[in-house]
Amino acid sequence: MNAELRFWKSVEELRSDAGAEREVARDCFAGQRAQTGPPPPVSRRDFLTLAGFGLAAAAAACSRGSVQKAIPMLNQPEQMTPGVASYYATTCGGCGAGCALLVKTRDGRPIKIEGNAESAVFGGATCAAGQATVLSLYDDARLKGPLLRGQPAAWADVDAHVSARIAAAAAARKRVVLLSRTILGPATRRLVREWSSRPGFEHVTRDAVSYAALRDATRASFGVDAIPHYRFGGASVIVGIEADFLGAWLSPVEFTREYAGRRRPESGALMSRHVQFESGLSLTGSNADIRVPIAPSEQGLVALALLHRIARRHGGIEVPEVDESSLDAGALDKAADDLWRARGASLVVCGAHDEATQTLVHAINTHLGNIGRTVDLDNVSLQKQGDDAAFARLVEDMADRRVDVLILYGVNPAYDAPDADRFVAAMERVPLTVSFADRLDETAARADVVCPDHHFLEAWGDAEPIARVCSLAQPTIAPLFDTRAAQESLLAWQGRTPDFYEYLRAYWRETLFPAQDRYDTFDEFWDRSLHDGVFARSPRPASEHRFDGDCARAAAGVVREHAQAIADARGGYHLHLYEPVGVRDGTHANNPWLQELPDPVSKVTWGNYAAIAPALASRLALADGDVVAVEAGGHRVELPVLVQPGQSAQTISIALGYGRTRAGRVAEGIGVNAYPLAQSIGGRRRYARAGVGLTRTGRRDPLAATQTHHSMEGREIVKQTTLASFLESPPPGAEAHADMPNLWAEHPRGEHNWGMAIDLTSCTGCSACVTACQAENNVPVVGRDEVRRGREMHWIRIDRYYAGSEDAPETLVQPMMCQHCGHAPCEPVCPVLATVHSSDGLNQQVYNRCVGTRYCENNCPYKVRRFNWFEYARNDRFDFNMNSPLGEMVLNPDVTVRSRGVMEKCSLCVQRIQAGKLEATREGRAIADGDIQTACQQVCPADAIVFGDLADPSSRVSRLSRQQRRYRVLEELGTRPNVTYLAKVRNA
Amino acid sequence: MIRFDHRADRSLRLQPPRPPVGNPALGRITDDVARPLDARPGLGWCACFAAAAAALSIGAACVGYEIATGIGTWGLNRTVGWAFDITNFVFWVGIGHAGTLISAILLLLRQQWRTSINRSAEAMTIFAVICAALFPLIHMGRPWLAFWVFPYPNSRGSLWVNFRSPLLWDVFAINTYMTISLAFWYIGMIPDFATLRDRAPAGLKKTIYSIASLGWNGSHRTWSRYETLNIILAGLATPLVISVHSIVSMDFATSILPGWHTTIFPPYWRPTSRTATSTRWRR
Repeated sequence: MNAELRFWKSVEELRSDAGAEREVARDCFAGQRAQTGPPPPVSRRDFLTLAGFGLAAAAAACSRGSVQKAIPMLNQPEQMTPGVASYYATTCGGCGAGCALLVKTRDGRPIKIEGNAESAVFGGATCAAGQATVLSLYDDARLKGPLLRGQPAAWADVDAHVSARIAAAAAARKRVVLLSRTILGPATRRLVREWSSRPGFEHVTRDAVSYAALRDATRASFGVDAIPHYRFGGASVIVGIEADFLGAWLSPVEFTREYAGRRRPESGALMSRHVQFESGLSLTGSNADIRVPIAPSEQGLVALALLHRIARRHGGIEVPEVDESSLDAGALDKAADDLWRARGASLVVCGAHDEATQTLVHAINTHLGNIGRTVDLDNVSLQKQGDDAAFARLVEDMADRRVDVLILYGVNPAYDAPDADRFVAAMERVPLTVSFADRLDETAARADVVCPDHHFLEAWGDAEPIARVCSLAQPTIAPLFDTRAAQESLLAWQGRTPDFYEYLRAYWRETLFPAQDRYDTFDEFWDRSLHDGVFARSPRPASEHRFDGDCARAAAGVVREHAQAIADARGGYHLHLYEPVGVRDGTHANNPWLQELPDPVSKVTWGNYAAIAPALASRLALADGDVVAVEAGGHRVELPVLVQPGQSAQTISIALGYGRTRAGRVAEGIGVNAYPLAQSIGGRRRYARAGVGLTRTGRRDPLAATQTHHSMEGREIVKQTTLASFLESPPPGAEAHADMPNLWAEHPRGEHNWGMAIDLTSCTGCSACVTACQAENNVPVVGRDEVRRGREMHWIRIDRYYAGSEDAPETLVQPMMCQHCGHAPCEPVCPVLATVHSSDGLNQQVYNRCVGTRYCENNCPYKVRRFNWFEYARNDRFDFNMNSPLGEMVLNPDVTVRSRGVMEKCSLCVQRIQAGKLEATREGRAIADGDIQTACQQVCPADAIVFGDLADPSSRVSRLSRQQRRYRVLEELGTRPNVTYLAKVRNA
Repeated sequence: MIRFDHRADRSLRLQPPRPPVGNPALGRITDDVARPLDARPGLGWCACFAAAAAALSIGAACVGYEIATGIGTWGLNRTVGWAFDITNFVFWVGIGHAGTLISAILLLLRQQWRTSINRSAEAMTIFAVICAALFPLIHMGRPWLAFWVFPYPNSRGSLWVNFRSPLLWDVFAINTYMTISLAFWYIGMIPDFATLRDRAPAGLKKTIYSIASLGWNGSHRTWSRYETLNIILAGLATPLVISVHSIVSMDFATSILPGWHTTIFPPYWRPTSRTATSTRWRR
């Protein structure tokens, strides 16, 4: 605009005005005042200019922007602030362990699972499967409502149909059987008891993977009809026989937590020793100080040989001699010595599916004085109550048309029974079958009525995984679909009000409220329990338990079985079936996060494989990915070979849980179903057998492994030592490369210097952190082919290295993510400054600025950068959770979904750092150590990952970074990582 | 309708070149050299052009698919972030150097035999550099934002290019090399444009040639200026042969990757690329 021509009468006036203008420039409110003053005069020319511009702007902006509606809520729900997360305590339904959870919800939808730190048993951690359960909530394969004879129906019609049939069956004195998985909730247990106490009504419990042998042996040995509660925290010496207690056996989160608590080299002699006898290299075996490969048929012999040695030291017990020629006598002697030295503080656990072997293990624990200490028979585990014999009888009865109504609750025998065909045939002979399955799975597809149950995050419930340790489950979201809690269906069909919430409250009021004296009113007690999620009563004191088992019979049994197995195995191989860490028993097969989770040991994703020993592979000229046919008991499966170091010489290990045919589109065609290879002996399921054929097919099916190179090539990427040498001469600490000269200027230092310390002695490699990071940071799933091409997107990976011989290797694991180097090699090479250093010590990736040259990825010595090769969200090529409006609901709104062509990597959960800073600022205080936890740290059951401020010398991470075991990976390159590792110490 | 020939006694079809016999007159040589520009292309030429155009279309379609779908269509992965792209980049830069060698270095060394091939060698340099520049462009995850590698004034605040990155050095090296090569090529062509201008009938062709020949009049003074400028440009282009490939090799040498991180790369790459490509020319 034109400068207004100003008139002046005297020089003074002119000068004083100029001075006043300078004053105005210094006055910060001048602009504001000027705005409130009279409008500036507009000349005709200015008017025309503005009018012309306005006309042109209106013409240029003629295309309408897309309308995005943001409609405020008419009534804001209580406790819900948009953009602020709420946490609800609940109980995990991912497996039978029943861990207490804290569920993060944003704007009414659960997006992240955390462990509930209030729980004294499970702590604030979860496993990988637990982390992934939140994605199962948003599974497209879930049923949207009840089905009557395969057609969508209304609940009223379904209820009328089922109730009438049940009433008719009851009137005709016919049998109505409820077949369920182990029911963890005491309220549900009572409901089922009420249901099945009527004449003709029955309840049979069945678990996908059987623990019946352990339970039967405990009943026979001690008269306790349950599985003992094992306390790894009290054990200085642990001997495991084919029990993957850190991976998938019974209660892995709790066991890992307790186990890792005793793996602190700084505690010296308190560090536990772990010996593992097993056939396949399991997660647990890979952590053992001493691992001895055995054939599955030798499990009983190992138990017997150990018992023999313990009995000799104990004196006064008769144990028959046994031919031990096939076993490693030296390892057994040493294990027995260690156990005996630590009697009362040792533990032998066994995953055998054979009652005789479990009886012998109970005898060992008894003679070692472990009962009441590390083996708790007073506060037992209620996590697995399946009764194989009852299920076998049920199938017989069904086949003989003696069952009129069969209700299936949380079970899928048409998939996971070893003789699924018989079950399916028997099912056809049941006039009415009702399933509570959440999807049309292998069994539900054959049921007459499907009444889909809620996902556990939508439902009320409770759990008592360990006797006297209770937790509550509450809905974290309104049911997404027209589903109904199974309990409410059962109530409805009994003619009662289908309100399980009231039933649950009534149960807690009657049973648990009187058991406490802290709260006067039930409402107070209920609110508190619901808030905390857990309610633990004081444990029962240890009482005397006499061992009544028949060792002589058990010993004869295992010897006979072994002889039988040797006879069977002539010309064949042993087969060992196991529950994998990811998809577990097959329940999670349609969960893409778990399908893409690398197996903690083999690093293979998307599917199972036949693991064979390197010696056997070279004898048969088989390599990774060669498809073989495995034949056992008339069943034949074809699957690729994995050459697994440490695998027992003549044993083939195959994971269960794959080969689902009706779980959903993710699971379809992934792996083969190995359950038919299991056998039933006297109704009891056995996941091992001898005399198995192995033939090559000539086809190849390359494995989708995330790690194909297993050697450190002479570099000390993972440092390890033994406890003895560590205690004798602690390493001086790796300062050798710390102060190398550097050409670049130092980065400006801010208030904080975020860093991390990872204890490789604690870390078991369980991979919970991988899934937790995926959930927290919206890491996409890329699928089998892309993993084969080496393009998986996980921000944190667990590197696994083998050392020593192929037959008995030492396994080392190392969580590896962005090291946030002080002198990051990725930073100077980016042409557009898309990766830069923050003053808080973070190496930051700016997605918006990235053009995708990938030089940073090339120059990263840790290979932790991940590139978006394609658009992974809303792309039909990648038809996983990010390609579905339902699956997208799991995304964390605090983290960008990256577009194609940009680089990404671990941000040290920068959104959590920001949230922590904001919280501290809002409360007007400094950030305290431990306020901010990264997702991987929070989920770690072993407490191996510690995040914090390195600028604070008293923070936990700073103290760990000064420990004697500290070192930094590839420090000699001058990268100055902010992540410190603590060397692995083996107690061998 | 463009007329290819103004001389009635000539066939419109291109005749096979006449081998020089004895000591032909300069006028005849000019006629021979200019004849392809006056005539319609022959069948052989059309066939070759069709084949080349087909190959180009396949390439363009593939690049189009790659840009539309994602760089994941190439077989790259986490540890092999560059493969096809960097190999082609280095290869084409090397090809370009052979052209510069012939046109510039041999000019400086007064090697007369270069005059028979220097024009095509220079053209080869230009197109090789274009090919080389194509690969860093299409290898990007988001090639539509490739202009961000240029330091131009923008409204993004403190966001600027990173002068520490060898990839940025590449940008400058390639651009400098392209500019010098283009100038060298064009300056060399000025007398020839003038010849064509003189032969062309009045019309569009003549106007274009007149502009391109920059008023060349064939005087001793213009020839003298021309020779001087050529020598200066050759002197400028020669060190570029050394610097450009050295900078390209620094994409590797300045990284910390085993196998890449080696100081021998800059001196090693130049002779290998140049001998590899120039021996092909000498044969």
